[in-house]
Amino acid sequence: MVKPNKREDANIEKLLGKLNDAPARDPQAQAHGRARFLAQAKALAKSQPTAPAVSREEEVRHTGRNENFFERILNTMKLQNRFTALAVVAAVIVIAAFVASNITTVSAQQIITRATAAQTLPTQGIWHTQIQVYQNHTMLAGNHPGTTTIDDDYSDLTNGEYRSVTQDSAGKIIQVAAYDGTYNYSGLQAAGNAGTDPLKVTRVKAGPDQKAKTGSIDPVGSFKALFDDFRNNPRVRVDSQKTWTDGTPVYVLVDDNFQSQKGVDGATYTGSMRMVFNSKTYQLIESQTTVRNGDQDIVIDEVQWLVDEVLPTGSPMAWDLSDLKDINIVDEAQPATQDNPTFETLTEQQLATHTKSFYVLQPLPAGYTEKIVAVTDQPKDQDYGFEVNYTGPNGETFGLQAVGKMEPGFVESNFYDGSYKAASGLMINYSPSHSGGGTSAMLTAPDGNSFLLTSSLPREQVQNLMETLMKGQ
Amino acid sequence: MISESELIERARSFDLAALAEIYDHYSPGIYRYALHLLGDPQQAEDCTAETFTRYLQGVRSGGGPQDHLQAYLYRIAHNQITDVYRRQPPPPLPLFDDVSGADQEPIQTVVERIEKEQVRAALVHLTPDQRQVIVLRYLEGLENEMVALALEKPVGAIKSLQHRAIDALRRMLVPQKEEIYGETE
Repeated sequence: MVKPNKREDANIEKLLGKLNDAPARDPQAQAHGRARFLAQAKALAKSQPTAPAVSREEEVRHTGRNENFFERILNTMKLQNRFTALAVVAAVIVIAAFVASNITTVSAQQIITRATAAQTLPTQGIWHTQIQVYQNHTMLAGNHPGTTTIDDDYSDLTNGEYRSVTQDSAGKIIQVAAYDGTYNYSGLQAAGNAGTDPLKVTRVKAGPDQKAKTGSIDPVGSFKALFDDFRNNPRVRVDSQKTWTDGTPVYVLVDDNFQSQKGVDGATYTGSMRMVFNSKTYQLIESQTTVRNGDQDIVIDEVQWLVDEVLPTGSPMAWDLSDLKDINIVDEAQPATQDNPTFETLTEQQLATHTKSFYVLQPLPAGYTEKIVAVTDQPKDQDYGFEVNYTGPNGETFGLQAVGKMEPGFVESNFYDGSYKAASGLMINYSPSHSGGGTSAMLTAPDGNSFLLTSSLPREQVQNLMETLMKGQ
Repeated sequence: MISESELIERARSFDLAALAEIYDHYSPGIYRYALHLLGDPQQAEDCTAETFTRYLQGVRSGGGPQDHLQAYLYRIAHNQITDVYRRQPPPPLPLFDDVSGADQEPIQTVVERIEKEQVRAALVHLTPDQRQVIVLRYLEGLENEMVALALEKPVGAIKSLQHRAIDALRRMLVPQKEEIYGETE
C-alpha cells in the first residue's frame, strides 16, 4: 500500500510539472541577445592579449551592468510595460475563463498585441488610474476572505515620468515605483512582512537613455479592443445596457458556463466571468471571476477601475514620492557609466552610409524577409558592426554578422570543415560546430572583410543563397 | 554536433561559431529559468545577457568551465537571481496563461488554472534555495547531479532541499486542497 505522503508527494510533483509552460521567448529579443553576445565576444577576443590588465571598474563598464542593474531594469521595465500591464491586467487575470469557452479562441497574446498597438497613438497629459485588485485564489469561503490591494498610478505621457503606489487594505504602502526625470525609485514590502516599519525605497539615478522612453497610449482604444474581443465570443452574452452604481451607463458582459463537469480531483465546478464596460468610453470598470463550490459562488478574482482619467499636462505631481509619509527613501550607489548597447533597424540604404562592405540577397527569395540591425552610436574609428538577417516562409533563417577583417590564419584554423567559393568571389569556410542540420561558417569577401554566417539551412541551400549574395549599395 | 568539451575548448579561443552555438543551445534554458524565478520577460532577458557576459569574462580571464557548461551557466544565473532575492522578496512564480488548449474541456482549464495558482502561491513560501532546486529540477528537468553542479552544493544537499521543499509544499497544499475541494480519501 502506498503511504499517503508518498502519494501526495507524487501529486505535488505532478502539479509542479504543470508550471513549466513558459511562453516562447521573443525571437527579436533572443536575436538581439545573441548579436550582443557575439559582439562582446569579438571585442573581448581583440583585447584578449592585454585582458588581465582590465580593472574592476572597466570590467563593470564592459558588461554594461552594475550591482543595481536588476533594480534599474525593474524600473525601466515598469516604465515600458506598465501601460500594457495596466490595460490588459483584467484580461490576463481572467483570460483562462474566457478561452475556456472553447468556441472562439481568444488569445491573450492577441489582446495584448492589440492593446499595445493601440498605444502607438500619441496622446498628452498625465494618465491616472486607480485599480482595486481582490484575489482569492485559494477559494476561501466567506465575506471577501482574500487580499485586496489598491494601485494608484500616474504616468506623464509626454516625458515618461511616472509613479505607482500600491497599498494594502489597511492603507499601508506595500510597493512603490517611480521615475521623476532624474531618479528611479523602487520599494517592495517583503512577503508576509506586515510590520509597521516604513517601506524602504531605493533611489538610483536613471540612465541617460531613459528620458527617450516616453509613454504614448490610448487607453480608450485599448479597452475598446478588449470589449470587442470579448463581445465577439459567442459564449459571452451582453446584458442590456445597465446603470452602474455611480450612475454610469454600462455594458455587462457575462460568460456563464453552467455545464457541470468533473474536475481532476473528482469535484464538480462551475466557472463564470463578468466584465463591466462603460458603454460610452468602453473603459473596463470591473471584471470578476467566480467559481461555484457546492451552493456557494466564490469570487476568486475581482479587478475594479476606481479612477481612469487623463489630467492636463503639467498638473502638479510629486513624482519623487515626497508626499508619502510612511516610506524611507535610501540612495543607492551611483551606477557606473554603462555602455549597454542599444540596437536600431536599418534599411540597406542607411547601412550603406555606414559601410561599403555588406552583402544582401538579390533578388530576395520568395517569402523571405530581410532585417538589418546594428548597435547605435558605434565608434567611428572601428569597423561598423551590423547583422543582416533573413527569415524564410517556413521559419528558416540565414544571417550574416559583420566581424571585420580576421587575423591571418584565423579563418583557416577555426573554420576548417570545408569551403566553397561563389561566382562573385565570396568565400565560405565551414565550421565543424553546427547542430540540427544548420550551418555555421565564416564568409570572406574579396576585400578581406568577414561575416559570421549562421543558418538553419543545410550547406547545399546556403551555397545556393550565396550565389545570390550581392554587394549592397 | 561536436562534443561539449570541444565546444568549450573552441570557445576558449573565442571561436565565434562555437560561441554562437553555445548561445543558441543554452540561452533558451537560462532565459526560461530566469523567467520562472524573476517573473518578468525583460528581467529574464537581462539576466540571460548578464549570464553570457560573465561567461565571456570568465573565458577571457583564463577561467570559465572546463566541463559541465550548462551547469556553469545556470550557476551564474543562480547567483544573479540570489542577489535579486536579497534585495527584494521573490515574486510569485508566474502563471503563464495557456490559451492554446482549445482541445481541453472548459472547466478543466479553470480547474487546472486554480491548481496552478495554488502551487504558485505555495512556492512563494519556500526558501530561495528550495525554490531554485524546484525550478531546476521540475520546471527545467535537470537531474540532481546537474542541479548540484549549478548550485554548487553536494547532491545530498540537493536531495535534502528537494525533500524539504516537497514536504513544505505538501503541508501547504494538501490541507488546503481538502478544505477547498472537500476531498475524502
